[in-house]
Amino acid sequence: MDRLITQDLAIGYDERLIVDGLNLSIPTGKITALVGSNGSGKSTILKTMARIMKPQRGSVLLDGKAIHSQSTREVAKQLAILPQNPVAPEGLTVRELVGYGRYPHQKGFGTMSREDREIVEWAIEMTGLVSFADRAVDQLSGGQRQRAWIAMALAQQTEILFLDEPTTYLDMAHQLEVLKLLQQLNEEQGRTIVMVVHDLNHATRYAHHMVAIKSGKIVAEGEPAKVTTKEVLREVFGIEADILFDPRTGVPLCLPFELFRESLRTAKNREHQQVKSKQEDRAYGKQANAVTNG
Amino acid sequence: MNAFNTRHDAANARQMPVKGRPLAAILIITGGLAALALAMAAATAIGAADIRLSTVWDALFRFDPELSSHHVVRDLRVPRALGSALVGAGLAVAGAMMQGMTRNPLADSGLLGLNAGAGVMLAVCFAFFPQTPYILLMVYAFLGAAIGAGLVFGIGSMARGGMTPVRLTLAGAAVSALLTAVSEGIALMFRVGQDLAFWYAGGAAGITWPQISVLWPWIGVSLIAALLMSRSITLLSLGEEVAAGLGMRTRWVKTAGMLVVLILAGSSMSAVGSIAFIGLMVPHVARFLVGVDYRWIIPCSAVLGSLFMVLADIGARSVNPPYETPAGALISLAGVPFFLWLARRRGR
Amino acid sequence: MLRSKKEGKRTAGMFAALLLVLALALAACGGNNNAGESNGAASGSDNAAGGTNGGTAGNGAEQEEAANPQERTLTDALGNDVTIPANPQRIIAPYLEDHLLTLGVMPAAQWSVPNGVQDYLQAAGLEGVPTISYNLPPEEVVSFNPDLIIVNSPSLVQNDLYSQYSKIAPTFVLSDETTADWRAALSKIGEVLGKEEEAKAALEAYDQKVQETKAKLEGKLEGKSIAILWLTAKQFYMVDTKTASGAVVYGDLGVNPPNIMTEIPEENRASWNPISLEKLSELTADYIFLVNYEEGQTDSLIESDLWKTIPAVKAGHVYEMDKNRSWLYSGAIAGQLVLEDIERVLGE
Repeated sequence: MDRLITQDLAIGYDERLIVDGLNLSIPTGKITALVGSNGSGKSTILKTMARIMKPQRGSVLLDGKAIHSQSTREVAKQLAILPQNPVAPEGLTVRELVGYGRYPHQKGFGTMSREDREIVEWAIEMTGLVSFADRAVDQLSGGQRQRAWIAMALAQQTEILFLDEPTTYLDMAHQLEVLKLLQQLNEEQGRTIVMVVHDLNHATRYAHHMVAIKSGKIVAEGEPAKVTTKEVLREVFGIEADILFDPRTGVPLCLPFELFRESLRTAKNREHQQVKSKQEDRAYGKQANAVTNG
Repeated sequence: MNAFNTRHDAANARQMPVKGRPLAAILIITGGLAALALAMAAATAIGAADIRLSTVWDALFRFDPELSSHHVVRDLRVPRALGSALVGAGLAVAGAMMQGMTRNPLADSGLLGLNAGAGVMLAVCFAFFPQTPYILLMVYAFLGAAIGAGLVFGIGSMARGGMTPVRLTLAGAAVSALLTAVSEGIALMFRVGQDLAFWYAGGAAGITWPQISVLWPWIGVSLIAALLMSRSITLLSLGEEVAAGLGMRTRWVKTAGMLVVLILAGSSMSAVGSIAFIGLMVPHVARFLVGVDYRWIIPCSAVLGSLFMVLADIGARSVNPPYETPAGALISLAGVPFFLWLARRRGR
Repeated sequence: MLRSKKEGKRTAGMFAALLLVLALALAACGGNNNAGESNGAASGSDNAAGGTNGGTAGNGAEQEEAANPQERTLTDALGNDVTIPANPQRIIAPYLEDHLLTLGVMPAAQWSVPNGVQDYLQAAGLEGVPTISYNLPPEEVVSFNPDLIIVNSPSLVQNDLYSQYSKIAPTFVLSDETTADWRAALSKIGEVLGKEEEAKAALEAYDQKVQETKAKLEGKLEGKSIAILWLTAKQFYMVDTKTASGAVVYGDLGVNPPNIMTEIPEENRASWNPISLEKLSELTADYIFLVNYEEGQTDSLIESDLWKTIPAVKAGHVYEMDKNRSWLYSGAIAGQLVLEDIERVLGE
């Protein structure tokens, strides 16, 4: 049975609801990827599931208990969240940062116990940062920095780990570095991982479970192969794409080749009809630009 | 745990080893306290009136109410030194907490509208309730600081995309300018410019025992509260979402923290007037010396802030004797170049 | 500080002057009604009042002048050639009213800060004369339709103000040096108004008065020293030997200035020397003349234990001078009032 589910969740800022009536279940011990276009509400859903945002209605249940009404510190022993693009204070070392992951387990003034220290060193080792442990986080490369933050979340020793766009702003090698680490954590330690990712191919390749979201609603969910269809991509991202299957792994790969928008279709029609007029050509160029930009 | 085996790698790293920081902090706190004791002794011994050390000693331990030199030591110099120390600690810790909570390296009671807000309230007091007793004056300064800070944070967070250090600083500058104009308007209309001018100049010269007796419980309790909150402040300095994810009640901590800041800054300002830059400079120096952990930054800021303020006050009476030079001006003289240096370093 | 001593002195002096202006504004709350009522009443009575003044010059001189009108051209401190009208009737000479009254001339408007005037001159004849703001706004000047403007400092006509004033009426500027010495100022204004004789007579009368006072106090001031203190906004100022009542007491009567004055090098002294309570504790003067703007304040500095240990205070030799007296002003009238006060206090 899934440990974490949402019931009739409604989330919004002020009056405006971004998410309304969301029922979502996170498979335990799997990697779940939330995908959707910008502004679809996937980040908001992630934050609410990790209780750093409050829902306006409904609840998030962890083992059957609403997390928003539990002690936030107790919840922090069950689930950890790594926000999007966190920034460490200048001069904070990796070991110091990871040490803060022990916060929910400590009392009072926060003196590190022997156990705490061991867990910190273990998290540093897990993330391959041993030789960087005493470096300032702000002086590391993007990938190392993200691994340091993941190490902090690891030190929190939670079954469930939320990550909001952990690969954004990283180059390709660093993206892989982070995703492989997450995969390893899942496989070796059975952690439940929920992440928002932008790159569909990362989702299909590393996630066991995909949730496609549009306007705060679930459009499709399930195994990547089931979710990654032409129809879903058109609906969720507004793109036309070919779906291939990686010959090595059998994982679906999506190759977008065209935007799917009403406005673009009319523009294309015009192009066919009036291809000879240079003036019209120029006008189309403008319009097409406008469409891609929008 | 084979992580320990590879630990020697860390020795190659450029950064100071993590264990050195508490050591540095303890050194600073003990050394700073010793220096503070010396500075306060000097502040008691040095002044416009020429009083021999033996007389100073007698004034403290064999007080003779008939001797004016004994009164100088007891009624003027000692409260002045104590007051400077209290206020210096208060302003520095208030600045450190603001910088941590807002993650804004430029946060300071002067830059975030607290000084200007307190100034307006004091102008109102001087204009409409000229006989306000000191304790009420302090409460008004505190309220004014709250109003100033409220306006700055309100405007700063109104902008789309939320509060960034730059927005906050801009809002602070705008609100401060507005509130200062209001104070000056009140000063002109109700002819309290003289009282206000002294307040804006800033200095510990007027601190008396009755003021100290009101001041120290507030600042003392707030400093202890700041110390107790220091770990939470460190977490907040990692970012609000990170702190919330780690199980901290961010709203509660921010509210309590702001309250402590307002009490510290408001009561300090009611005693010595508008002294900018201690709250900005001292925490940066502390952070430079002991790293990013507010459990160390806050006590170090308190000690260094006290020391700095006591020294500035000694400077205030030694620069051009027998005249007093406003300590606020002396501090700004050191503070402005520091501020520019900081802004430049940040800009890179 | 970084500035030179000379500059420091000037700045201190300007600051003190500013303070005086502010303090007068502050102190003169009670005078508000007077000024308000008089504005209406005095509109038509300026010339009539000329004959009723309590100054020293006689009416005969004025008639003589009126009988023999002649336009003259004089060069002022800025090198302007100023054509003085034959018989100026509507003179504006802010802060020079003491001299005008001495010469038997009633100004068209009198100097004021927002609601304060020169209190001591009201009884001497200015009662009922409308007020003009100390900084002489041109619109206000125009509204009085003056036929002669006399200004006591080049600093008042900076930024092209001179040309604005001189379009309204001939404007004569006194140098700061002249203004600082009331005898020179009186003589100069006598010259401008063609009343040299009256000026001379007034000076002689004053010197006569000085001699009389000296005679009355014969032996009583031998080897004694007097301190003249002004207390306002929790700050004591020591009146310099060349200013206001200081010029009378130390200059004309030849009384010794107090030890804490002579300890300050002459080039560092300002007109009003701010003096800390701490320095004041070393005061050995035999008598203190105190102009107290903190009258009735419970937390006033003169309620402090330290003040009460000062020898002159212990001996009961503190004489509080009414705010409405002339101890902070210069001029023949101001000086004579000071002489009267001293005679009354020490002469019995």
